Amino acid sequence: MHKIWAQRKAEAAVQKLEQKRPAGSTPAERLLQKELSELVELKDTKIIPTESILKFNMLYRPSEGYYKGGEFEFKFVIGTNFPHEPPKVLCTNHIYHPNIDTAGNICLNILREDWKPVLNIQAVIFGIRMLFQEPNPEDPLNKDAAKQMVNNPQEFARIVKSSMSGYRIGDVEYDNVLVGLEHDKAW
Amino acid sequence: MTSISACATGYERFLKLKAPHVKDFELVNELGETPQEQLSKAVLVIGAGGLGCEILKNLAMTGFKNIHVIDMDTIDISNLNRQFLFRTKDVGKPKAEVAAEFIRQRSPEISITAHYKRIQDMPEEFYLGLSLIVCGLDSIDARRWINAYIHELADRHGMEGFKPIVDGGTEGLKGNMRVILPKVNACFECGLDIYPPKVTYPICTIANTPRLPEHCIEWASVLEWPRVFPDTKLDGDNVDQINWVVEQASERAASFNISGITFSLAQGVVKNIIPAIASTNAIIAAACTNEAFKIITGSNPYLDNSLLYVGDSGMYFLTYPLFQNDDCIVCGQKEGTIEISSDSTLQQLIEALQEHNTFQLKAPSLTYSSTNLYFQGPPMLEEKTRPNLEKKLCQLFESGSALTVTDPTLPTSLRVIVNFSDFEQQQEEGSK
Amino acid sequence: MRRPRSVTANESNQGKRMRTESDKAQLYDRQLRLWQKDGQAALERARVLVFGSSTLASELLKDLVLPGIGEFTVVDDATVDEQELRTNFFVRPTDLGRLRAQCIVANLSELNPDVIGQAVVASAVDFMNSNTELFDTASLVIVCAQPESVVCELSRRCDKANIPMLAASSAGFQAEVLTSVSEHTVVESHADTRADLRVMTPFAELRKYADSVNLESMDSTDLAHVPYVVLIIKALDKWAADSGVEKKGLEYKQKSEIATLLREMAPTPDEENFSEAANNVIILCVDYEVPLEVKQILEDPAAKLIASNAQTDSFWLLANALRRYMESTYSEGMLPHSGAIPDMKADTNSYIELQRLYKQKAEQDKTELTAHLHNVLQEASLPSNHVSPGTIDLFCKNANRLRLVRTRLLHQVLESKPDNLEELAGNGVLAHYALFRATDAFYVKSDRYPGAPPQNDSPAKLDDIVQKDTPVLKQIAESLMAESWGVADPEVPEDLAAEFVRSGNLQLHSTSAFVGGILAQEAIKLLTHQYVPHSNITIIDAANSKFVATKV
Repeated sequence: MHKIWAQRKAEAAVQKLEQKRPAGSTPAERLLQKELSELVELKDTKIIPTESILKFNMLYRPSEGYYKGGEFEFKFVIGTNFPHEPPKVLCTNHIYHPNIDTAGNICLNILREDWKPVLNIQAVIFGIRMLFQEPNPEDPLNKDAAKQMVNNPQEFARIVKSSMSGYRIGDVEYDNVLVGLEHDKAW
Repeated sequence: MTSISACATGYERFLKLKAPHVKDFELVNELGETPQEQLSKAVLVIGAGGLGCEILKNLAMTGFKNIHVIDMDTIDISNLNRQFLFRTKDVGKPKAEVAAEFIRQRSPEISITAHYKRIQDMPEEFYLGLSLIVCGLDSIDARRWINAYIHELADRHGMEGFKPIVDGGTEGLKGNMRVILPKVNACFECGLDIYPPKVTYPICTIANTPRLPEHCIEWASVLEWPRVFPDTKLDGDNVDQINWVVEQASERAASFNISGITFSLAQGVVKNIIPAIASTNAIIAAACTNEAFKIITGSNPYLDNSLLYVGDSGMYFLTYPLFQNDDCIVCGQKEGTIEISSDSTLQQLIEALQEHNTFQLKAPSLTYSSTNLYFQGPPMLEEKTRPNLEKKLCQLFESGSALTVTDPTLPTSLRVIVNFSDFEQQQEEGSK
Repeated sequence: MRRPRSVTANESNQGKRMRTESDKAQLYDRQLRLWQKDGQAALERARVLVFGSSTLASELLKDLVLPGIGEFTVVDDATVDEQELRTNFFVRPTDLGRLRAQCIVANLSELNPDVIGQAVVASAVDFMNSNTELFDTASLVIVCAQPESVVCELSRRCDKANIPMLAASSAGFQAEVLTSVSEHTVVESHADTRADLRVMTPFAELRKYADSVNLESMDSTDLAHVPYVVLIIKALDKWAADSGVEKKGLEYKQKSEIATLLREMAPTPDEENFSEAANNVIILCVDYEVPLEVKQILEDPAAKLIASNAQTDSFWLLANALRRYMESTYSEGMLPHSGAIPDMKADTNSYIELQRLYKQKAEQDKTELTAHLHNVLQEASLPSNHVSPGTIDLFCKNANRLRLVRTRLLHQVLESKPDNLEELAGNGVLAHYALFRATDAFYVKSDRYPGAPPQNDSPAKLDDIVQKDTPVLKQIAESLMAESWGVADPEVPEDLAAEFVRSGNLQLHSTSAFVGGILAQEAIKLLTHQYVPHSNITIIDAANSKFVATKV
């Protein structure tokens, strides 16, 4: 076994240390540390950290489209198998959106069937923003919302607005997600 | 060349007779240990399932004298078609303990120790005391953990922390094996993309345009279950719960004219069940044991480094060297040391890292164990960790601690060991 | 929590067989996902005859008893010695000196109460001559670590009784596994096949359906849910009309044009179903071809025989019917459709409708084939129900992945030269194969294996024996290659010969476990008639981690 060990690539001599130290970071934590600390800063999103870097929330204020004026919260949970498995992301608000159901499930391909280990948190954030700038009514999660958006965009826009103010539509009660007039100001 | 008894058993002959395929063959290793002594050192088997039972038997019958086995699972009826150390009466008992007891009964001269635990719960001294690890796991997660951990041991302890890993995996009539020599060849993480991720379906298909029975099952398990039972996690082993899924899925399938929902399919989808049979496990476990024996005893050359077996159409074997990924988050992780006084602030450490000749970092973020020391971003995390910048290093960690450092200039992370330049002085003061 | 036990009628009165269907479903869940109920039933009907009771036999049987083989018989007259205690997991320290076959049967039977095991204490040759019925009713014979003369005699005997045979032997880290089967047919090969969607020549109902879809009148949501099969048919039509070229023998460039057309037809640039269509053009827009392996079956003399030849095997009767089906105008040269289509982006109704069309086509094809089968049966003077509807159905579903395996019989192989000297040499295992033959020749000549101490001699030093035997073994192998096989300048590496001699022909546990696994895997394939058996040799050099499956 000494012979095998001697074959390793020439490197700085390994430091021998006597102290006991807690186990180091897991591969998922290392990747997250790198990704989070180097995340491209976007004016419309904000990361709210928790004690663990494997869990955080994101606030997003769309600057255009149907959802302008609102602030939406997303819960990110990254498993120890990241990036072999995608992060789990839920929308914590009850909202009226063709691609998001009232349980917070988001229909975004890279969060499930199209996830690849080369993708990252940044890609997921971009994907979510895209869904709010241009909802995709062709592959809906909330079918009624999608139908409305295709058949009557004005009515759809009206319902989005009233849902964002926290009104009940049909038998679903939506969350008030409006951030008021200061919306365009930076956080 | 020593002479050995003419009635030597099979493996004894391989320990004592000259190995024709090994260059510079020696009967004793660099420490002057005979192969028998080398076989008496502790080896660890991770997983006491289909592969694990086979590996345990193989090691015991190949001359290994000190075997540890770790598994956090208990025995299920569906294990008995391949996990031959278990019987119907053992259902519900810890796998590691029952497997160890069986081997003990068969070969009382072997020391075998069971650990009904998670691999993460064993102390560092335990891992340092091993000579080699054989993994028979079905979880990618656990393999990534042990791989990263063992690489860290090699980093920190050099030869003392060098623990080769022989890793096996099977699926139906296919299997693979890897010999991982930490810091010498490719690690598990380097070859992670060989393993396909779990099959998933678009959530909008599940919700609105189901076409397959699987879509209906996922509708019931992924969307309906959490809606109806918000406080209970769906348990794939709970028959009543799976029956509920079957009922819901069948109803939905019928309304869409889809057929093919069965209990077996539903459980397979929910639990992501992978077919497993005794013969494939036997082949892969035997290949693992062979490599373990050769690495430990030097009685033949070991495999560099991967074996693929496909048995569903004819018989196909492929051996190939998987190459090390320079940017691998585990074995590509570089390590360095920095000396700094214990009353320096974290800010000063960061500056030292930026000015350091070999590191030359631009904007380092630092963590210690799972504690965030300082993050350059995102803003709220920067803000939250900013107070640490003013703290003295000795308030944050001990001398000799390894920090995980990331930086835009680095492809992966860097492990930096921080030694306090006034460490000895401190120790003396402490003892006064 | 366990599934509730449902008591079946046969539970109480079947003696040893106590497991209910539901128990079995749980116990065998992980393997039923591979070979399903019919594969399991075939395993449970099987009677396996094993010659030899060493580690190799024990390990092989473990891998057959666990999945629930019906019955096994172990034939051997050896007793348990020290070496066996150290390497054979299925003998116990208390078994020292006892009859080995009985010991392993007792310990292996404990693994699965559903399996019936028995030991016959006899040499292979004695057994062959005295136990005719037990031999002739075996479904499979497996020969573990027996001298070549015995292997050849067993092979002749198996040939006579038409029983497939597997044989294996090992010497330390070296091993070989051989398959001997005059004819083995597979319906459920589980082979990967290309999706059979027939977009180039749509059958009438598919054509009608595709024509009924009007892309122009659809809104973007509906367009996004048209199955790619329909999109490709439309694109092909348009491309053929525009270019005036026939939809046949398309070249890569032409297929690229069709893919481009599909991308242009898409309402948005990366509409998923249009992308799926464009990506599938290359593999789907090809002329229909019967897979090579199926062609060989159709061309096989057995598929052409009729009537007087007393063919009663369902496979060949069906193959005969299939050949006629393929010659009929109905088939247009295409095999019966399986009825299966892959998942594709589509709304539920379109997909279900499409699935229904293909299933309906498969039913029609089956009806047509059944008509041919009835003619075949009539000509063979067999009743029209000779082949069950279930068998016909399975045959049609798998028509494009049928397999036929024929190997040389083992006595033919061992008593002459290997068929593929170049392939063996090319794979780097010619010397291994020769050394196995030489090891047996050494044994015949010296009454001991190379590297093993002489029996009545004074205890000699093993090192000396090994040193002395190595050049002898090398020489035997080389002269065999030169004189009997006609190899010019044969060369057996000294190191490899030394590795064989080093083992003293003793079995190592892990090599035996490896070989046992392979034998069991092949046995399961032969017994279930599912998956494809190897033909006909695998050489295992675990010293150099080299594993080669090839032909001799």
